[in-house]
Amino acid sequence: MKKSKIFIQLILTLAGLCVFFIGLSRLYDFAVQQNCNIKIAYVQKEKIDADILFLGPCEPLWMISPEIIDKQIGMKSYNLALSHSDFADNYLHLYFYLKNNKSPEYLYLYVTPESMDLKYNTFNTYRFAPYIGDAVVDSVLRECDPAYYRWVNLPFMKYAYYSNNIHFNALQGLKHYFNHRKLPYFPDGYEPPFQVKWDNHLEKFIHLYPNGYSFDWNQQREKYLCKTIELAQQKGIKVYLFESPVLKESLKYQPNRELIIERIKAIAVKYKVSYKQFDKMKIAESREYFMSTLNTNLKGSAIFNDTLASYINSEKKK
Amino acid sequence: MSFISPLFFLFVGIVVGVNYFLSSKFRHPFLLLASFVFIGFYNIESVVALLLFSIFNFYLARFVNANRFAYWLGIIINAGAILLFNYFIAGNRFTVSFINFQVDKLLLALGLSYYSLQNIAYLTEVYKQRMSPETNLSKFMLYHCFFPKIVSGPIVLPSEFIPQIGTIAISNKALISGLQLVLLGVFKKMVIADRLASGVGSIFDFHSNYSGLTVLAGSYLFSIQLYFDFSGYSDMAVGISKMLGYTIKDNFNLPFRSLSITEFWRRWHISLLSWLTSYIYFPIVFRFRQMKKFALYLGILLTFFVSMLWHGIGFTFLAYVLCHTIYLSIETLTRGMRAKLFTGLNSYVFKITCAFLVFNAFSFANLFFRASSFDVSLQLIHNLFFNFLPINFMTDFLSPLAVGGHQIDEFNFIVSVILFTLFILFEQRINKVAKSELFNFKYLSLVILLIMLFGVFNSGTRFIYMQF
Repeated sequence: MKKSKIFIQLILTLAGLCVFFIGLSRLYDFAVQQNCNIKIAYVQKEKIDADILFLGPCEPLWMISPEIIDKQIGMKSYNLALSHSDFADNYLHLYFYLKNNKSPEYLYLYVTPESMDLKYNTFNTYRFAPYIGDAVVDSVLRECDPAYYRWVNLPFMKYAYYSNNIHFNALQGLKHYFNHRKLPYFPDGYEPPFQVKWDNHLEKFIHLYPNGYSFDWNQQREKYLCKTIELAQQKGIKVYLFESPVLKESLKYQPNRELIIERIKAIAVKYKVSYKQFDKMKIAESREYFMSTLNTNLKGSAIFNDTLASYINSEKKK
Repeated sequence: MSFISPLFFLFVGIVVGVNYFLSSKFRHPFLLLASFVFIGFYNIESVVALLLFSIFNFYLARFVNANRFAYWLGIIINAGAILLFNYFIAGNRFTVSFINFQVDKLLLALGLSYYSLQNIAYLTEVYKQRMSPETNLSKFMLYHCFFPKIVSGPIVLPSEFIPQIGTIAISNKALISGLQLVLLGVFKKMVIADRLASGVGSIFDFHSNYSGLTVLAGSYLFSIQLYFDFSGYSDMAVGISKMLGYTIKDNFNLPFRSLSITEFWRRWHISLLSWLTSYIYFPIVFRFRQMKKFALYLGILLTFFVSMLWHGIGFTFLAYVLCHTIYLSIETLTRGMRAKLFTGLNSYVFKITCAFLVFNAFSFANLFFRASSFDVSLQLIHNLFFNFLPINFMTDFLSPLAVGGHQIDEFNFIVSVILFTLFILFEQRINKVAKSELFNFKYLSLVILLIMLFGVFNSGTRFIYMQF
């Protein structure tokens, strides 16, 4: 085969692949945004217009049931929390929620010492891949995942980079589109925990850190916690920071927990918001109500939801 | 500089391009320089170690053919380097720092255990007068540190590589075939091996939680991961070498189609096994030939013992080696009986059964190879035999393998299983196309497409065999 012919074939193959990947990227942009089970897509497609938003990682996601809360407070709430999410993740979710929905009256943002430490939760870049091009998204991605952001201009790389987290969502999105599905599997955003037995997390933690673990305060987490509060306050939303019950026996393995909580309180004071801790609840004393040190099981969640609803009611009356 | 990184591909692109246009007289000094740059990216101590070992062996070889003492001195120093390398890898370190230069890193140098084997082969060949010592230091150094093979082989014998230096012409066919092989290697690593890595990790690292069936599946997955990881690296090394004008033998030849363990070792890590066979097994069997069959068993045992010392120091490696020694000894012992029993049985079912048994035997030995300690491997084996069935199929079997209990995790796991199953089924055909010297745009498109769709870009693990 002639050299020039090979060269032309190679160029044509690569060009064909480029065109294909550009098309596939567009298809994925569309498909992922049709997936009702993806909160960021759902809150932009449908009007939620909740009065109260709950935001944070898996703890509020698995513990706070809007259905229970709403019955007690007579308002509409929505659980915007997502598993493994950090504050940058929460910030962008709030940003997109507010784009298509009226501002809620209250935002309950989950903040604990774990939230400030990089070892807990993460920024889930792939959740925002379809929204690259939005200036706010771009600036957060550039800062939180520069290794990813470097590649996003190549055809399809914004999806290929975290492909394991994408294909299923895109296929499910197409299925929802063709079935005209409007409601997600969890319409109020609350995901009841599927694993109700004790998960041995504490035992593994003690094995890893027999002398306890001291939290590391991360500046970027602090920055995005502040940005989330600022974004809410700009929209006239009353912000509450809160910590759900923590299993008491685990506290002795966290020597600087109180110090970190003091720093969180300082942020709350700076922005003139409340920081409510539910750590004194009776359920915190027994494993019976927990599946891990931070996550209550269904039994514990029911009690916590009651207490949280009472607190929201009392704050409403103020 | 990882083999799977944009920087590496840029580096290879530049080196292949420049090398292609250089006149043949300048090619080997250029490749030597490129190899030093590549090794220098890892650390400066590796460059120093390589220079020291190259110069030492180069000059020692001049005295070797007339001097038994010089020969054994060379063998002891090169073998000692491998043992110390493994001693340090096992976590026993001393640190002597001198202006940011750590002496122990000399013995943890990139590729040391690979080029030490090459040095032993070189000194032996010269000592046995099967080749004359190389007279050009830069050529010898290039043989030593040729960057595509320095990280994890293939181990190249001097007689295969040195004669190619300075005589090569790079054809377009070699470029095409090399590129297609590199892509195949990237595919194997990113699309199959790295996709399985987290599932394998979850089984082996949280071993006590799982049933025997889960452990069994984990050991299968590790065997597949190991194969695709290592053969992927080897394909890349062979492919890049081809693009630079050098021919290096394949390191794998469809090992999962082996009908016996003996055949398996002829198809798996071929370069190491041919080294061990040439420089350990044959000399032992020849030396003890009066002892007839016992010489064979002794040869197998000592060959695998040396293989163990090369792989690492520890009970897990010892157990791994013992497993294979037992398998091979049983095969040797029962060869005649099996030949009688299975005469005429050459059906498809028989072949599949044999291949399945070999795969199981290999996977069982890999429980020792992959486990983080001997106690862990015993726990895994205990689960395998005394706690076989999972209580709940979804949470105790599928979830750990899929690293999560969500639909998305199961979907990804099923995709991985489909990908490696299809690959193994069509491997012979895929290899044929990849090694072909004809430009195949369908193959190229498909491989790039699959890498983009299913490759692991974000958390790819380093090549498993880099640790040896």
